[in-house]
Amino acid sequence: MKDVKKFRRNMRISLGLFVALFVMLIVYLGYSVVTYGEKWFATPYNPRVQRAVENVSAGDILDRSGVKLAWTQDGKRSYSGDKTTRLAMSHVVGDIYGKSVGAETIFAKYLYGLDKDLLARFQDARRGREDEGNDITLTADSALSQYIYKNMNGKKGAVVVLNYKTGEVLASVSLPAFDPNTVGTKEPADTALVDRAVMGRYPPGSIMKIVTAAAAIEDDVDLKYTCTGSEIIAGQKVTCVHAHGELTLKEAFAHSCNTYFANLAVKLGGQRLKEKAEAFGFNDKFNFQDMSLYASNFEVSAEDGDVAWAGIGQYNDLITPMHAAMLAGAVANDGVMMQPRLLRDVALGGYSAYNFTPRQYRRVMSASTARVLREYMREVVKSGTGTSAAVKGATMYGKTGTAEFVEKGETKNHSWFVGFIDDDDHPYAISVIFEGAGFGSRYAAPMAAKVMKRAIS
Amino acid sequence: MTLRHKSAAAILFFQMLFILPAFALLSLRDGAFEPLTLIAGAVLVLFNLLQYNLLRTAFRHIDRFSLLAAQFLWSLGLVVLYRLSPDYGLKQFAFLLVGTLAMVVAMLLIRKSRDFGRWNWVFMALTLLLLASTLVLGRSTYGARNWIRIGSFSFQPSELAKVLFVIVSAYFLSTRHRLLSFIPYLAFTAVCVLLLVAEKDLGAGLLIALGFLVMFFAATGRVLLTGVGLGVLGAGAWGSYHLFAHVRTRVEVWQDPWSSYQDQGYQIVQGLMALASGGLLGVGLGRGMPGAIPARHTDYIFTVIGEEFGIIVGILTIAFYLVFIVRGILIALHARSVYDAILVFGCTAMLSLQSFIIIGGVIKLIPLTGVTMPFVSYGGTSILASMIQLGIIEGVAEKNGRADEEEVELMGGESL
Amino acid sequence: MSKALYDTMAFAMRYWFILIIALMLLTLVLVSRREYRERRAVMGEVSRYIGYLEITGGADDVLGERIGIMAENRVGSSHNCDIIISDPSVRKTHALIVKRGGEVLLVPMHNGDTRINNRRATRAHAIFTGDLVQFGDISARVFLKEPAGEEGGAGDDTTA
Repeated sequence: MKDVKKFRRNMRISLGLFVALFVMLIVYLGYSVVTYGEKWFATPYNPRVQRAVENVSAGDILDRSGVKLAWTQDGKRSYSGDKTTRLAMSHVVGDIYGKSVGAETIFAKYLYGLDKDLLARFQDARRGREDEGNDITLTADSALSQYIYKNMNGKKGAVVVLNYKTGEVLASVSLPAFDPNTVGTKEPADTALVDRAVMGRYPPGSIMKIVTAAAAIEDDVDLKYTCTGSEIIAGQKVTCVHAHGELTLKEAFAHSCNTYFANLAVKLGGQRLKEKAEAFGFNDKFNFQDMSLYASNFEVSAEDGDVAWAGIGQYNDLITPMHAAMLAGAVANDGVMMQPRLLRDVALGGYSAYNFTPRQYRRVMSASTARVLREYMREVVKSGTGTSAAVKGATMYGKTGTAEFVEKGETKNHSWFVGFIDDDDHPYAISVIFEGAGFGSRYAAPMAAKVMKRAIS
Repeated sequence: MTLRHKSAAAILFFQMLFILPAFALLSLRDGAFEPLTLIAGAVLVLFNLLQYNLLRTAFRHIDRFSLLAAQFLWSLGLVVLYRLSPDYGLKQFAFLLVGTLAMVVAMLLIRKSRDFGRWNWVFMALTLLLLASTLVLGRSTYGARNWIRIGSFSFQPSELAKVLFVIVSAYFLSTRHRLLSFIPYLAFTAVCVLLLVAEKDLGAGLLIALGFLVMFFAATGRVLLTGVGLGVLGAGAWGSYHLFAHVRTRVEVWQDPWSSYQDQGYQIVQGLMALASGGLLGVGLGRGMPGAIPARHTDYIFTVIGEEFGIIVGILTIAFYLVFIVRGILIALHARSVYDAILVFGCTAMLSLQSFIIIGGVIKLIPLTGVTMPFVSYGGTSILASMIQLGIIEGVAEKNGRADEEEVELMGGESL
Repeated sequence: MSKALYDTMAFAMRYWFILIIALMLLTLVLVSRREYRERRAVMGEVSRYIGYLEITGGADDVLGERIGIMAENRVGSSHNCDIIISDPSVRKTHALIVKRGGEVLLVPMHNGDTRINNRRATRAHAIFTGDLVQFGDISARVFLKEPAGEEGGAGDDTTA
């Protein structure tokens, strides 16, 4: 040992290092449990939830109008008597076997009374109610969901209707669906357990043009272009349904001109597009309290050809129907995207134990950009590709999408429509997708019109 | 000029107020009151008090605060272990008794000798023997071969080896100056780490590697060389990631345990769910479901604490380890000989690194490696090693205190 | 004892445990800090002493007492002095003891009767361990600390 003074100093430095490490440990522990604790807990394979399921009589699940969707009778879990309602609400309500991730799992802590505070526990123990959970009220509307299910006519896909001012999800229907009454014993066919609304990641197709247009509006890029029906951009062939002729951004949007937007995407550049997409929530690992929403995907490469396709919703773009509805909602809500909510209220022995407050996800664009986009989306329904989405007696805004994908060597199209209506009493946004059905204007748009009409009646 | 010892009676009183109610609660768990449980709690309180007072009488100048921090840690451990199974609790208490003996022996040895220089080569040989023994005789649990069975006892040689490593390091780092003379020491360290990696005991290997780096940096102050050492460690880690599947699994499971929650990720997922279940305040002693957590009485005991006592208590426990570290380094700074200083510094560093590695792994801050929580985890060798390290720290503290006392009295002051 | 009752009790006791453990930690930290500060202050003082004087004669009430010598000291009966010897035979400022270079020097003030080993000191003179010094009637033996160095690890870290 040469220098003792240095040795002492080094020991003190090490002390500082250790203290820093442990402080980091403490902060990380506190932060992760507080932020992710609910998520970690509300999984179907949590033995605590399973034990509660066995020992506690779970509370009722009601829809927003008070209609009972699930309840416990004589120790057995029962669901809505009407089969269509059961199927329509199956993904939102979930099941008690952990096969799907719905309200039964996500809100287990309320349904099984795991969150009762000391006073409540004491009172319940005195009244002999200790083995009962709480009733919860969802934001969903079972009548609307049932209507949607019927009108989907068995076609695979999803429909989401939400309130763009508060984020409340009024309907989230995914087909194929399962019957919670039999899911315990009979393995549902096909992919019925998959909630396409939050887990289905589809190429957005022309829906993506909303993001591309938003970027162009913000950057003040007004491309003057004449569509001839097809063009080769950086070695990739981009085609339109027909030649659109000379176009402005608004017209290109309304008529969903691929070549226009492909050029626009290249002009904006991959980085800018990615930036804007991420501002809209793409690539974000959503951490919402009320649902497990899979992340949407947006990426670019150095090739302009890929950027072009990404800009019109192909390449590796992926979006969930829920996120698509949130997207439309953001345009309606002056550029602010709200957090999607499923839980409206929790009833604790007669009084409300849950304070529902709308929560903002983030501001995805400026209010002025949103206003311009609104105009464009109005034009889509007025004179563009979305005329079949028009609703009599209301002003419908929207965007159609026809997303190409390849299945078993065959090229098919998903039929998309996202939109909203401008109505203070019914501030609803909607997204519709029919898997592999065909053109957006042909299938998804009219469906949206039907659903919206029913929703506002 | 007086050197005064401040009273720690309040701390002992609070300790009793923690232990007795905890055991009282546990005694009511099975429906009818079980007096044996409450007696067990009372025995623990008496043991702590007795140990504290006897040690203070025999060794006037020990660091009472480190001892009290350790007492809290093993008391908390005992409460949780007893709750998991009275068998664990009682066995652990037996380990503590033996451990206290070992601690006293360590303190006496420190008091007597200047350094263990003459024994150094013996220690080195012993360390290598211990580490190699599991290669030959070892049984593996949870994938790592680090246990040996002798009769009905399980024994973990790597725990003792790490204490010996600190002692050997203290000798080399305090007596050698020139770089060349360090070579046998560096080689020794490398062999130890490689042996542990070969046995898949990555936790102990990491501990010795990091402990070496910290001690080396403090003692020699050669930032460049320490950086090189860190680089070698990093390269080794990167290499093992690419070479060994089990390392890759650990890293993948650290990043996303949920996708393999049924097999590799099971332990981490169960731990996280337990912590989430506890939340800030915990679910209450005896009300959690630790049954699903693997290694809940050893490596993963922190999650049981987190579930039943809450994250706040978890954080307070980490703070107790922090107290330990601070006191340990202060003792090292006041040590009268360089050898003693490195000895204490090394033991403190090892204990801190160990607790950081396991808690960090459990809360998914770093990939999980198999080490125990000092003083809290169940395990004879774990307690033994921790107590010996505590004994070393207290032994040097005693030496410091006596030297202080002599100096003060020399100058006409008094020491109370 | 029903399960529900145990559950409620255990649930209620969470607060108690958190409180007690927090109190334990708090007391531990506060008491240890206070003790450490005091210890540091005392040891700091002690380490500044380079030696001490042990009173060997001249006044029965202070016989055997040890007074620490610092690097620079004023010896005398005045309260401003570093080494205070209150005796009528000791002048207000009787002498100085200073460390210069490697030596400890006793510098007598001209108005006082200062002796080293029974010989009167008239100017600065080095003193060593074992020397008998006298200020007026009071005599004391000198003890000086060995200079630190040996293993390089001695003593305190007062600048911590």
